[in-house]
Amino acid sequence: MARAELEQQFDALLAAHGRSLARLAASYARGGSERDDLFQEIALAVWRALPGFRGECSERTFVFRIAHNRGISYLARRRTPTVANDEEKELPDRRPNPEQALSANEESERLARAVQSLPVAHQQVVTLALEGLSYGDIADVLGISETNVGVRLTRARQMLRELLKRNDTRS
Amino acid sequence: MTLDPELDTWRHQWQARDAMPADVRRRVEHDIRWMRLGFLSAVAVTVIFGGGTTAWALVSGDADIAVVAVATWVFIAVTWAVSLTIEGGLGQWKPASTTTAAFLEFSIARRIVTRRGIVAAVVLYAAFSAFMLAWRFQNPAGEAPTDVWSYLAARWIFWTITAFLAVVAVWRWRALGRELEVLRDLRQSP
Repeated sequence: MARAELEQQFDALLAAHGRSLARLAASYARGGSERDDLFQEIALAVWRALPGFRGECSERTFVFRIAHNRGISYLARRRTPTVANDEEKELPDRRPNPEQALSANEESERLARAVQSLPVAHQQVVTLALEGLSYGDIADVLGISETNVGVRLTRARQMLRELLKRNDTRS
Repeated sequence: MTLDPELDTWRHQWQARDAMPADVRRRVEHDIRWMRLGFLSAVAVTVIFGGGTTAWALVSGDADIAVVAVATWVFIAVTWAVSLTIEGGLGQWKPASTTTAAFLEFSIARRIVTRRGIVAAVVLYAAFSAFMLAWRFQNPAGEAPTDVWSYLAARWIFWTITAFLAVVAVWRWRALGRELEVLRDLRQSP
């Protein structure tokens, strides 16, 4: 593949899926700078894998696989435990006034924090579902059966509900 | 759109976060330049040490220096062979875009093999160092003859470098062990 063609394809992939990739990176990484670093790692891995991409799967599956694989490498390198215990699953509530209604942005941040605190296997399934992938596509990205996707997603949703409810009760 | 109001609401909230780091292309190109530089430095080390000792042997015409040059090339060849064997043992598979489950297996295998590589590197380093120390002891090149212990004690630069490399090897070994633990936990998660 010629360099110009590669650059064009890379730019097109980032334009189409960059925001999804940034959200997936944010589900693994903690702070803003860590998220940006992981996003950059994902982009680099996409760039390097692109010449070998022969269309065996959809472009979306291709980039999401790379994103989750880099996420796994990131978790392995990180020194702290990956699976939060019940204490750590409490979502921080940084609202200045508890009586104040949540804005859309706050709700979305709260959901993101809840997703981040899920065990990795559930987090992966739920982030892909939230990006709009079907069971079949999720199975294709993660290399698990559709039945397993269903089981994990049901459990993940249950955990998310509990986490969000717990946070509501505390506020 | 699905007929699942809860998931649709979460999906809407989730996708509302759409910030993406700027200058991605420039940063990726910067990383690629560094990766190329890393590969070039490995080649440069080979050329400088291998070529340097060969040139030294040719210029001096000394048989002992020729032995050092040959030993250096053997060391370099074995290092590259071990490195390529480790890579080859993992196959020519391109893991970046494979399924996450398969990537997890690959990541575990890679770390196990890298740990073996560290052991191989330590053995190689010890063998090459022992050879060089013995050779230098037999060929003092102007230094006054001395006993083995005084000779070894005088090699403080060598021991400092060896201690530094040992710390790096232990640190890397332990880091890989921690990473393996995390990856195996992830593999076992339901």
